[in-house]
Amino acid sequence: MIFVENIKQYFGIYIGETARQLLLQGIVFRVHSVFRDVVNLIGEAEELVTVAKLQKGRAWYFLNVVPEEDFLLNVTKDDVFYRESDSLLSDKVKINFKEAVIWRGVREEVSKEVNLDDLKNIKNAVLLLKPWIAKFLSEKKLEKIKKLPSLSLEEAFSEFLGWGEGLTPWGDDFLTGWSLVLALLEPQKARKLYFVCAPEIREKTNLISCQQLLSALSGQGHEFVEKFLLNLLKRGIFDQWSFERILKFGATSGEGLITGMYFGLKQEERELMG
Amino acid sequence: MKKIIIKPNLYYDSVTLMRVSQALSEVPGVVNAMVGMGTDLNKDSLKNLGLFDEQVEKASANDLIIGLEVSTEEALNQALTVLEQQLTKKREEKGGSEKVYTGIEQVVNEDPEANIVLISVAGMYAAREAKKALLNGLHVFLFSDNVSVEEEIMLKDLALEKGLLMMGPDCGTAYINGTALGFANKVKKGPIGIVGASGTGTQQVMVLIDRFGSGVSQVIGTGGRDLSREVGGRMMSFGIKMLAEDPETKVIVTVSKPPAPEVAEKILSLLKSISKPAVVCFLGSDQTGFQGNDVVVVNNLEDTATMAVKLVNSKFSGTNGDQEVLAKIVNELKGKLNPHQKYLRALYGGGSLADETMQELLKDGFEVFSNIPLKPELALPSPLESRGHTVIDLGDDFFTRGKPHPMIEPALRVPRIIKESLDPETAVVLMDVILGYGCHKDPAGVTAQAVYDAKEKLAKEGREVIFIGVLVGTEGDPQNYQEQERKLKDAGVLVVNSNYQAVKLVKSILG
Amino acid sequence: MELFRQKLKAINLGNRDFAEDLRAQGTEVYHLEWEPPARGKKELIDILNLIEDDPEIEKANKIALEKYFNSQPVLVSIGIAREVIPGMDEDTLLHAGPPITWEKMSGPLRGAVIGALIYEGRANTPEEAEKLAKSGKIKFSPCHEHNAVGPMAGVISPSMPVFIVHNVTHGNYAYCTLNEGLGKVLRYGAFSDEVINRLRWMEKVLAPGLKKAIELSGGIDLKTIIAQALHMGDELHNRNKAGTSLFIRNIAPYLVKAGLPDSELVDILNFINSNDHFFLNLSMPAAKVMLDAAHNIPKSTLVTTMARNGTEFGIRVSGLGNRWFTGPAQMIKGLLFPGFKEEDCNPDIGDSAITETAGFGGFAMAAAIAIVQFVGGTPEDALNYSRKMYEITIAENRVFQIPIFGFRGTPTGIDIRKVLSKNILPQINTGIAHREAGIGQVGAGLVNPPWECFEKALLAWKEQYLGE
Repeated sequence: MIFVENIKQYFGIYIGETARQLLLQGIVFRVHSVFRDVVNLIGEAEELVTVAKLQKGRAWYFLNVVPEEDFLLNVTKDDVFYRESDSLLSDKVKINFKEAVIWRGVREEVSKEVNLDDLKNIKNAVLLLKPWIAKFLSEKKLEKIKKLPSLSLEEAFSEFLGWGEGLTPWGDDFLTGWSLVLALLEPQKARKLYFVCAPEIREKTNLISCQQLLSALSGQGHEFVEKFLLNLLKRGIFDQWSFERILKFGATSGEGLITGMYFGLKQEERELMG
Repeated sequence: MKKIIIKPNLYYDSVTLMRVSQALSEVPGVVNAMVGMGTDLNKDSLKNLGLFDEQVEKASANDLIIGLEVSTEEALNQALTVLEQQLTKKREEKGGSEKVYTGIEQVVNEDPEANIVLISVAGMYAAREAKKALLNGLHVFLFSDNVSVEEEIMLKDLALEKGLLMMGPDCGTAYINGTALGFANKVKKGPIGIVGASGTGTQQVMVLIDRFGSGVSQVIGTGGRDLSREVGGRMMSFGIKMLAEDPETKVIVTVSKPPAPEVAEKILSLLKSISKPAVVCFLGSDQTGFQGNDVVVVNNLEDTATMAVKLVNSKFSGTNGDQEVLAKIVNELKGKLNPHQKYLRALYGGGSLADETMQELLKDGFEVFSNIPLKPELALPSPLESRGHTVIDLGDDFFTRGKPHPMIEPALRVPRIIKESLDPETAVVLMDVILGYGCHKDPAGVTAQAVYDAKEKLAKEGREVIFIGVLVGTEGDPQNYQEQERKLKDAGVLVVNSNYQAVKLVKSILG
Repeated sequence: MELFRQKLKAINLGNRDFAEDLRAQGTEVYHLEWEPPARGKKELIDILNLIEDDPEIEKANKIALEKYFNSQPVLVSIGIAREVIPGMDEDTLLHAGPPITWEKMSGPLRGAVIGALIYEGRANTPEEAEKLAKSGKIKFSPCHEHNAVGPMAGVISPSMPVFIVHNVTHGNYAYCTLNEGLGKVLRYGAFSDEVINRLRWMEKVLAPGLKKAIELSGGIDLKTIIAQALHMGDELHNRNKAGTSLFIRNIAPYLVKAGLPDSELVDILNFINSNDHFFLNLSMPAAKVMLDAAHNIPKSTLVTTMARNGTEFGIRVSGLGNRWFTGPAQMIKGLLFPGFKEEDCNPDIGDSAITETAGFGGFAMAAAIAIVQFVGGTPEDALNYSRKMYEITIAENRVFQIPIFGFRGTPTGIDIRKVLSKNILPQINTGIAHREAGIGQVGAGLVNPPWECFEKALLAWKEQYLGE
């Protein structure tokens, strides 16, 4: 067509704190990958910001935008966005995040200053999750998981990093779920693991996995995942709504995350029971 | 499970391929689907999805590549069937008539049954297209604004000459032959005909008529400026005459802001000369009451609907909402506020509803600031900053320049909802949630999310704010009224179905 | 009201959701792929609003088009440029497209100028020729301003032989050089010895021989050949196979009758026969002579010239006299000969867009589907290009037809108002010249005029007929 279309505008509604900081520090962002509901951008220092439809829920490194129809339809891999004050501009699209509400997680304090109640909660959570896990595990995955009990935490990370297929390999999703449990119940352990494993994580996984995993170890998970976990542990509720949305993450990412959470919780259970 | 298929030397255009990809990704169990010619760009994308092997590497730009990631064997089979269907469909369609129309005349030449044109292009182009439509004998629903008064008069005169409806410019709502045009609710068929110069005002009236058990014959929109001195009620007069002749219509309702006096005179005397009873809503006007035997003037939207339904059903009692229940709720709510929380912050997508709220509050002596103030001294210095009692019309030009209207994209209101909630002086946050065709698919969901977030933040500060939602919609609307209502209630929003009721609630909380 | 008793059937333009909502309610709706007219320029839209339904313009365009339709282009003879072309003298070189100075000429046009000066004996080397061209002694003038047309560089020098085409109805004439063939040729800016020698042979042998034959024939009706060639798969701009064959059938008996020496006769027939594009230099002056008849009708908004000089694209409009309305020549999208890259291509050049102006060429691509092998695209594209041109033209041709459209007349007579209001630019298919002088043709493809030409023309029309 001859008529040159105007630049299509999108508006940020929520912006994760990490995304906000990364965006305001950078100037040039390259499109790393494009999906129907999310577009991943990479800044100058290889940091990841995800532009997502509002319905995809919120996360620390997400920028949720509307309108959702024709979501970033013209954007293709390797397009370049420039940040001008509170907007991202490419030659086809403008994303204005000036008024976006900052999102800083659904953090509620759940400490592991142990008493029996906690163990009860964890036991309950494990029970609630258990029926699903068998459905998620193929034989190959099961075999891999059987190795777990004999491994230290660091060794487990090494074993699972980058394992499996998918945009975020299954092993990475598994570890992300595990890490979220760890960060919630034993934040100090998680922090330590972060420092020990970060170099290996950066080396062995792709950009998106890496971002997810490191965030998880610092206790920053996706809105739906955190809500699910908190409901599970604090209220003993199996939050079906969040669960269904988690299962829609990526190809097998959702299953991986939940499986990771389950085994993370089981590990806690084992430790608590001595 | 991954599957890669290469079809050598099979060329499809990108539009078809996009359609095929879309269709495949909708097959249950398909995790990823990518269909494309073997260009470097597409190969990269496939690599990104982990759908890459040697044959992909070797494929040329003339080869079609299909990359599938599925969760089950069954999904794969189904995907392959869909793929074949989609790829062969193209060939058939090209031979047939997948026709693209670019102009009004082009359609009229081929289909003489076309009878109405909906125009929502930018204002500067709109008059030209509307004129084309009228010259071709078509009725016009002109949603666009920024059309000059001169053009409006020219268009309406042309329409009158040809006996056609010229609804608009700036017409948001119409309901013709049971079909919603623009922003309108699905209502029951019935004996009440409406001519409306106000979009959301008209929606509120039709929704309440439906709720009160009656129904609507036709809703003719005129555009907000029709009752100005210049335009002189050209389309409202015409609309009234059309409804007077329409055998299905038993009662005529008009909805507008108070018009220029001579125009009001003209409309009233026209209605008096007609044998059908009429309800005239001059939103916020001081004068009310009967004008002759069967023309009654009212000044709010709920009374409009009540009177109209009473005229067709004398047994209708005309109450909406249980006063006792409300009184109890109010007392409960009042107790939650601290002494600093004194003010209303109303965030409207519907301009007429904002008007109604301000009128009603003003009558009771509230000083209400706004970006569309009723008196110049009540104008907000900046529409972005509230002060005292504030009513904001977020559908006003200031907010919609270069952005979607909040009725279409209610998420744009989220930051403001949170901001107002966190203001230590805010007592009540009032919001409209408008359903119907043209509106967002899940306005309540988006609004509820914001309320959740706001409440979480308020809880940390040890405070509560009262959230009131006006849910304008019917059971027939595409959004599912019950579910929308439930979403708001779950978030702790006090839901009412009439803006007038919401204002009454606000008055008793703050009064 | 009648509407209340009818079934609602809607047309929607603008927000697509409104159409979706109507469909969801079971109401039939046509959603238009609407674009703002005149690329959304308010000033132009205002003018269009004023003059779109002007009956006087309709009348003027009808008169102009009638003159085009009843024109009868006949090839009557061959002459020497300096002797037959009005305003031509020893120091004048004609070129394609709108006026241009040496400084602004692109590679191929410069090459053709150099070649022409060597051919004329005004210079012995390219360097000498360049010096002379720069000196200001040579007057450069557009072919179109001398009732002539030239493909690609379109250079006509004083000694060149030219076809003389007579419009029997209106008495006007048009001139065009003889086609040299493909590859390294002057019209693509090549000027090697091979090129100059061929030009000399054309002047000494081809032209005199053909001239005799043409005159013996009593004139060859070009309109008939064009009409038939369209039925045989030509569009007469980039494909002239059928036209050339038909021309040979017409001329061969008279060539034999002309009593030429055997060797010359064989050479002439071989030359024409081996050049699929020979007829291009006849379809062009035929178009020119018909459109010139339609020129200078007051108020008419009909485009009578589209031409490019490799730097600028220019159009002229019937009601706006001899003024050119120009914009930058565009890059051509198409297929390149093996060994050439996009960087090698020169912007659009040549007077050959006169064929599109006259309702064939790119406008008749649907008649010449095979051409997509040469210019790129699919057969479907070829049909669509032609279909689209009906949107911007005033009439369907009475003589030139497109078989696959049920022998519908070709889209004929570009109206600047329609181009602007529908945002559809004329479709031209054309050859691609190398951007450096002396190399020649590198491919063929599709191109549009720049938008500005039409915009400027409409503004000029307003100034001339409506005042400020």
